[in-house]
Amino acid sequence: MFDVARLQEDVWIPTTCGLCYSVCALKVHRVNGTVVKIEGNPDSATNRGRLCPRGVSGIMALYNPDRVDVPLKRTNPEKGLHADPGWVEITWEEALETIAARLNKIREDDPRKLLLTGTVTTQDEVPFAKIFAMAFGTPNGWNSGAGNHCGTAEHLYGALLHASWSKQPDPDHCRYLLNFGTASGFGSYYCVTAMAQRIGEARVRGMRHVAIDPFLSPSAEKADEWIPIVPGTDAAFAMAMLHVLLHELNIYDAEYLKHHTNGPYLIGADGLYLRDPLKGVPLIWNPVLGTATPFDAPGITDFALEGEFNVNGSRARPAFACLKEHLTPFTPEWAETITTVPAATIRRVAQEFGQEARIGSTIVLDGKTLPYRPVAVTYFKGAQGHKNALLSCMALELLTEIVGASNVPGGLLGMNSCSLGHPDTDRPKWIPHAGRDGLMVSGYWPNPPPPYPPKEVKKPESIDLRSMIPTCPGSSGALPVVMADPERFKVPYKIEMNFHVGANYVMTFADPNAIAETFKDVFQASFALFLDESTYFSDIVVPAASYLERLSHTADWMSSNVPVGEWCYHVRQPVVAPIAQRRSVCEVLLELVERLKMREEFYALVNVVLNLTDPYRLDPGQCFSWEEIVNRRYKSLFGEARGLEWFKEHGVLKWPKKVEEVYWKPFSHARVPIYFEWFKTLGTKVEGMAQNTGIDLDTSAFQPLPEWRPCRSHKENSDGFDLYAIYYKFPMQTFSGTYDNPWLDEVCNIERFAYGVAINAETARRKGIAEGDWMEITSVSTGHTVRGRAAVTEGIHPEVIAIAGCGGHWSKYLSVASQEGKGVCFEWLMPVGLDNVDIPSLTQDLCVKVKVAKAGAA
Amino acid sequence: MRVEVRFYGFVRDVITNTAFSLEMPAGSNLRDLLSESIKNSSERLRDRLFTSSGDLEANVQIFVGATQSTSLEEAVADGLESSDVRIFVLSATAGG
Repeated sequence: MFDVARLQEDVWIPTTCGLCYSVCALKVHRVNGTVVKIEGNPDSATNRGRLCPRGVSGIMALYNPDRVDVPLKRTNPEKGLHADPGWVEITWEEALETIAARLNKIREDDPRKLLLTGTVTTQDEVPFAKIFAMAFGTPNGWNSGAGNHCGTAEHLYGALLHASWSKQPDPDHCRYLLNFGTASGFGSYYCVTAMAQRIGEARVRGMRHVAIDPFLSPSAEKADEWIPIVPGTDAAFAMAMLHVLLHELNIYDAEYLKHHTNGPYLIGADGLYLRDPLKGVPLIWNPVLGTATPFDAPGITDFALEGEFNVNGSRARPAFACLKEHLTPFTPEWAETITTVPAATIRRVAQEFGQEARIGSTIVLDGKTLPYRPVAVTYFKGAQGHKNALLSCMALELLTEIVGASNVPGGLLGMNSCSLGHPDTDRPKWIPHAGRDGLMVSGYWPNPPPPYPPKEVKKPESIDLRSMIPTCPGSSGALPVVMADPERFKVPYKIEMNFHVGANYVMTFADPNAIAETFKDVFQASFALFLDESTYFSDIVVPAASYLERLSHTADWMSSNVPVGEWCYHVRQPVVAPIAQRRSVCEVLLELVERLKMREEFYALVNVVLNLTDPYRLDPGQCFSWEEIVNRRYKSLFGEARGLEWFKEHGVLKWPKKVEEVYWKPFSHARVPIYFEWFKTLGTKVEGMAQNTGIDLDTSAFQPLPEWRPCRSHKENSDGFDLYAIYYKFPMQTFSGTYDNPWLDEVCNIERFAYGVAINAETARRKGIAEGDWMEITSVSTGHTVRGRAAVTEGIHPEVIAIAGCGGHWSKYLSVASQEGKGVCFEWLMPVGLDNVDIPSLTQDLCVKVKVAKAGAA
Repeated sequence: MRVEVRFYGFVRDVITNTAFSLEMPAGSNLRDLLSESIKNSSERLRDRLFTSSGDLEANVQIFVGATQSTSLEEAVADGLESSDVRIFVLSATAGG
């Protein structure tokens, strides 16, 4: 019986979830020092009191007996995927002294030899660790999502077209959502719980959801219509839609294209802008005067979008005309042969999309008359995670741009592209603006500088090739390739140490054998919650505090707020003191800064990167605690009265978003490209640099207009390898980081797709496979075979099998996740190599041809 | 005029001393200062700071005192006997 007399404490503490990058607001119930329940915080406009299964299960992550509780060092010098490190307990002092000594040596020698690896579930710690890495002097970092999670090329277009890391359909006004294989608003992607509610409301309001996806996924199953498609062919579908819109229906938003894109810019025979000889800026054709004029000349009342013109003896056409002509051959009939989607379906969807865009209509919001374009196209890793990522994403994005549905009511919205700041302080503030050639430059970008204007192409300085290929917006698929053989890429050093903040990179990129070879000779210091597969390569492991045990300076980031409604800034604070010897990574970083005598440099960079203002800047004459730095961060943003103590008490600060923040495009003079002219010039430079440095790179995808190009898997038709294997995100798990959670395991045990492998019913019948049978799945690319139980369904393309999440663990230290039958590690099927990477965006391809056969019982 | 120069971030591989003093003629601007810094340290620093056309790389931020500069043509200091210039070379480690 419950003893009331023993009850000494019963509190609810506001904080934020850290189990994915959505940053849902929490209220955590603590009784007598023990967390007994986690609920959504109804005070926050972000998730409005709701949580996903992961959020609720966080309590089990806190108290999981598999958690690392003490510092460890390995005793087995041999490193390998299955080589037990032979952990022995050491003191924190020994751990930090060992790490500091190694860091000191590397910094003296060549700081570039340090690599920082992180992941999204350490989203609050990684930004601070990045500052540490910058102060240290290394350019080398890698988020483990680079393989099967990161949007990569999608983020690039987020920057170029939406001034944002990511995008969402306008949940308040969208009426037609065309969803190319993403769970945005349904189960994963950004703001998952928040957008799931709002998309649910939009569906009740009447928004139609059409899902184009090889698999009737957790999001596609909630659609009005599911259209199965061959993986990696979304661009062909999109290009055929563009063809129908422009050539058959004549549907496009001319006013938007004229005033908000580079559609009117004149393109010469060489595919480049015609430029004003004096100002150097692109020319447009003024149909009123019948002359070419700089795009930004005063008094222009109209812009030609079509036609061919003679400009000083050169023939030129507007960019829009070039795009339209380019699309001529890409009919629905052409796309049908590639996608397997009937031409009539593509034509119908294009018509629905074009009509629902309601071009010419307006809406009045907050007294302002704005364009009303209630259609949106969403996609993420599914459609873009292919060899043809750059050009595929371009085709998908152009659907939104052609009908003028970009960052206007009803359309596709950047996730907080424009912030005018809190009413009291005008901070944080970022505004998209016009840059080179009048094209839009993001006001804020998480990894500065933003992709446009592009950095100059230079020889490889880092092991991710980003200095040579500046169109890669985030984590690079080239990193493990270059890291394994830096000499081949003329990188003049080898990585000697990995500063490893929670990323299970072995299971989140591609072929674990190849990744293991790359990392096995590197000294690795890990801040770990669990002894996962990547810690098998660690020399030192220190116990990290989980999100429920630590304070954060940046719980919120650009893509953690819903794009509409209210701004919300939260606190992430410890709801219990760190258990056992666990410590906050950020606190440990500050201690390392002192040990390395880096305080002056580190504080200077903290001041710049966190944009701390006086009087909250860090003075290197003083040593600041983590609490004080967080306190200064909050005060610098929101004023003296709203420091850390205010946030600890209130949990969330919110205020309404302005119309000009949410729907910023009509208020901006910045144009966006529908003809990516600078890709062409950049590609020429990349090609030249590659040749000069002796690197064999296929730069042919640096093109100004979209194309569909086959992936490796479309061309690998060896005998018996007749199916495509794809990976998809599953709402019950976050990447590889949550599989050891027993509550989530329970949920997954009753959902047959969670650990099973989806296979089409007719395909399964043909192969003699029944529901629940073990299957052997062999990759044509790696030769590896994985085992998974068949989840037979009509809801998958007959040429496809689908694997959820990042299961199939094998670390002996994960008592739940590493049991037989807890999912499949997709990475065994995927090769590592530049021939499997989209060069302009450095995106890792994610579809592979496999052979599937019934296996014996496990 | 005495200028205290300090470099931060992704520069330690191209310069040995990240902090030094320079004597600059009155009226010097930031471009002059960076050129002098390159002369004083390493030509490799030029490639880290500038594009081939002489523009500042987008990941480089310069502060004169506490104020961020927006142009290389800005004066190192206005009418002061000494100045404090800090140059940050940011690196975009990792992604999303």
